[in-house]
Amino acid sequence: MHKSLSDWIKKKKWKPFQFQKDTWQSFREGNSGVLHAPTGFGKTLAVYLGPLSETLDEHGTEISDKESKALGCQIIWLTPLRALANDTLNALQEPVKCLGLNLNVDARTGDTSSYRKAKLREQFPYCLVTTPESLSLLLTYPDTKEKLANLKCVIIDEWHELIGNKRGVQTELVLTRLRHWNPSMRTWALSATLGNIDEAILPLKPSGSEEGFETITADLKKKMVINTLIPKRMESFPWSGHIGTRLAADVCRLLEKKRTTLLFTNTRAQTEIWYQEILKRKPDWADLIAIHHGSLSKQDRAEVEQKLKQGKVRCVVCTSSLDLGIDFSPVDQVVQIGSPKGIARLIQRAGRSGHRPGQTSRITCVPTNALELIEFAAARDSWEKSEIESRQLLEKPLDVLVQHLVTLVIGEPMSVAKLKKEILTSYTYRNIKVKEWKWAIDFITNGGALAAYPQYEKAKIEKGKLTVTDKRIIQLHRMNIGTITSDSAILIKYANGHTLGTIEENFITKLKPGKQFVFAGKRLELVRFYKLTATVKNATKKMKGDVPSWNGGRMPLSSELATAVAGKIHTPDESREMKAVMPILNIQSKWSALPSIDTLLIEHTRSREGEHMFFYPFAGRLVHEGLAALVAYRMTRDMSDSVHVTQNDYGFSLTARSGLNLNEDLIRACFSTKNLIDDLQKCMNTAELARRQFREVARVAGLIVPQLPGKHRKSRDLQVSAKLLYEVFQRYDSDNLLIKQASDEILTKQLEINRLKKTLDEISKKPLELKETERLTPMAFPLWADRLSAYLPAGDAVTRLEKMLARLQKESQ
Amino acid sequence: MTINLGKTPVTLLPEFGVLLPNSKTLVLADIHLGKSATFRTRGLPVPEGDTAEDLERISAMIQRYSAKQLVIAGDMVHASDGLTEYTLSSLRAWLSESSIPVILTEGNHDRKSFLPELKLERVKSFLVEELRIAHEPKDLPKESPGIAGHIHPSYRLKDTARSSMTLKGYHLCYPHHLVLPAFSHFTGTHSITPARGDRFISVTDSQLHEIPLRFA
Repeated sequence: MHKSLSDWIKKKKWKPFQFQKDTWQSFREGNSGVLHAPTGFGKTLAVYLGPLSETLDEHGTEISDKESKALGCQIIWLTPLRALANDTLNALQEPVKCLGLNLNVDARTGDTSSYRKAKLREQFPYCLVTTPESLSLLLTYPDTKEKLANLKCVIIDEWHELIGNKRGVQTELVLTRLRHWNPSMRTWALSATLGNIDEAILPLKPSGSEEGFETITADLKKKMVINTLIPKRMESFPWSGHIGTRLAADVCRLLEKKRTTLLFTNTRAQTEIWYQEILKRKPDWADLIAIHHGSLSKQDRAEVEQKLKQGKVRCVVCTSSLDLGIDFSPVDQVVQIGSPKGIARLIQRAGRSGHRPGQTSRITCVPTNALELIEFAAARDSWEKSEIESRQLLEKPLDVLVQHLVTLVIGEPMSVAKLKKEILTSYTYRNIKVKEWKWAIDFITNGGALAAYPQYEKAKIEKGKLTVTDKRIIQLHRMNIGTITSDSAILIKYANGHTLGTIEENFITKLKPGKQFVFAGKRLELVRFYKLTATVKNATKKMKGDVPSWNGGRMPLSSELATAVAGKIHTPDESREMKAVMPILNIQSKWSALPSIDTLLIEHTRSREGEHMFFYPFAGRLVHEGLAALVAYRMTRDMSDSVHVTQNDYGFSLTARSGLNLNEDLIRACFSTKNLIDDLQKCMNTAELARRQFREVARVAGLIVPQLPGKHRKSRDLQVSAKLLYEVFQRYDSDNLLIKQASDEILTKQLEINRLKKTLDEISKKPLELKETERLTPMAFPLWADRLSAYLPAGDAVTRLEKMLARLQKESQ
Repeated sequence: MTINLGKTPVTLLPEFGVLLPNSKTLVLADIHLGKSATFRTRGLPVPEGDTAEDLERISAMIQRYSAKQLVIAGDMVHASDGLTEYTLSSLRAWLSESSIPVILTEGNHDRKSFLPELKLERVKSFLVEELRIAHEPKDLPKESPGIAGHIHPSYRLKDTARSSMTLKGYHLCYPHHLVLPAFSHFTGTHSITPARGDRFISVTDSQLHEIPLRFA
């Protein structure tokens, strides 16, 4: 460590942790690596001071302007969230400022003004804080190579957020390019604990290389208290969301006890609902509670974050939008509404409080239905045993590859052979097939040999090198870089122009002017809706107003947590949560049996509607969705009746007028892995799903031009829906690999095909526990209720449900 | 299915166009020729195939219904970038082989594409029997019957609480204006909000269905 830095550390009376010393040492030895440590222990300085110290060793602390300029950009800090950029920037600037170093540390993200961006591109800062998308964009400028000639180190923050999705692959490809320019460049990633850290680091290093990469684990465990709010009155028939905001009074008491609370909900709609509820109960806190979610405007979010940092608010109701990174020291308590659905997410959220070394993180979980108590207890157990979820790597997505190839050749014309050599050094594309590579090159040059693409030419070969010359194409591509897709969003604005955020089109089109709705914690009245903007005003008199819903998709329970939950149900322990749900489990075991990991429980019962079967494989919602469709399809192939299916994280149900029974051979046959993909494709309407998935693929591959409200009118002729594009490809070029990719992604992502196969394999080895029940059991009830709410208008469903609940309650006593 | 616009009978066809049986006039709208070519010249690889297929579909209709004249109610082509040599030569060849007169009531896309000289009659609007044909519905006289395109109408039909289908079809605006569905398969639709008295006839799998409308 350079003396000035070690002096600075001493002056701050700060004793470095072993993992920090190890990281500095490892960097000095020329290694790359990954560091995982709990939040709040100084990960930032562990990876940052290494390269900074090296620069000081080389150039001393007295750096002249000329020298500073000549140093160029030596450190790139990649952050997955632009909201994090400013915070990180401050942390990275601190040592530089304190030592009075003539080094520039600056940020470039999508939020940076175009003036600043141009300035930064002219003279890159010594340390650049940026996002994968922004960095990818920089690769399209020919002079970037030269500006990054002295790059020492790329640091990737929150790697666990990038791994397993397309942004991670994009990051990997960008790293591959930087390494290609500068082979001695080191890469350091920061990651939270993952179940499969050995696999997760593979994309960070050149494929096949084993040397010079170190995994450093901080041997520190964050002190954490995971608590649960247990309802005083428990219903025996838990139904998702049934408890709703009934625990709001208890939650408010929790808020009063601590200084600053982050209140996490799982959906944006829930955020709005809880904000209103707390406001109703604590009107005097109107200025002290705030709301934060991904659809609110950037300014409003930034304002809330600022207030949070300064300790000016008592409570922020938020979604995963505040999961990451930003250091909100005043937060001394986290409340989680509903199940976090995963162990890692619970830990992440809990870690938002007590963000300093030595402090304790506190999280209180609030159930929205009784069974969630089991999930809380199971998650806490898993955390204590350090069993955290794995993140699966993606299998060479071609859409990301074609985008990146265009990015590369815009920046620097290159021969196809050289390009291939470079791409093959990335882990994700290490075994790309000849056919796939050829397709990718065709896709960006002539569209492909088999189908007709007259006049098409994005990239072309000039003097043996692939290049893009058309300025319009370059501009369009730059606009298009990135892998995040979002639905066309409608801007919500006041008449004076102040933007409140965005909302989905299908919600707003249902509203008529004059109608009210709740958004951004405000009761708003729609004035008019024109093009992509909804103009609103504050509602003056109170009317009934809806809370908008966003198509976020419900998170499935992770398989790790699902297994833990099944284990808990079968052998309940003495925890408060389990004691509270015991009455429910007792009814379940009296009327049927407790589900377990060692057997597969299947129930059969009759009702006014016909026959029902309930299966409890505990494999998470997505897998159950696939399983339910599969079993329904196979079981009823010979029946004329239609079957209705529902699913949740614990199991799934089938309902038919007649013809369902507990025939073991028949059930076994339904769970067979034979013809699995074929049958799934027949019953899941995978074509329709693939068509929807195609939207993302087409967007990343550059087939869909992003629609920016008000701007870029020139691209208006290029607006087309993914659905139409999909049909055109189906018709005229059905072998296109993007079509195939979309169906593969549906199988792996939507149906979790691997997890589904594994579940089927496991079931084939388990004994079946078949139970004929007289009425709906507590585990069956939510599955039954789900069906009801899907088919009846909201009001009717609730009345019927409550009647049914009352009857079951009575019978259970 | 035949309806009356004013006193003129109009047969709605499952091929996204109408026939006026008295004068054997075929009316189509929003063909958007060269749309895929527009994408390609702007660097987006969308396969060709639509131009030839669309022109063949028109020829087939002319033959099937023994049409005596063809009126295109605007937006025959998509954009100037899409008027590639291939698109133009296909269109020219098709027009010169056409045995019946073709009339184009120019649409917004035609105007901004700077169409070159072609073997067809270009007008702002066209009167046939008692019907005024124009591209945009707002250009039809209120008090008399007419046919237009431009809107690409569709209707969203809800079947259960959670799902709905979007149906492409004919929007009959009370009392006597008809808005045609887009002839092109490669165009989006606009979901209409029907007014009282309106009718909507959907085209799915080459079948026509009158959809019972819910009025706001």
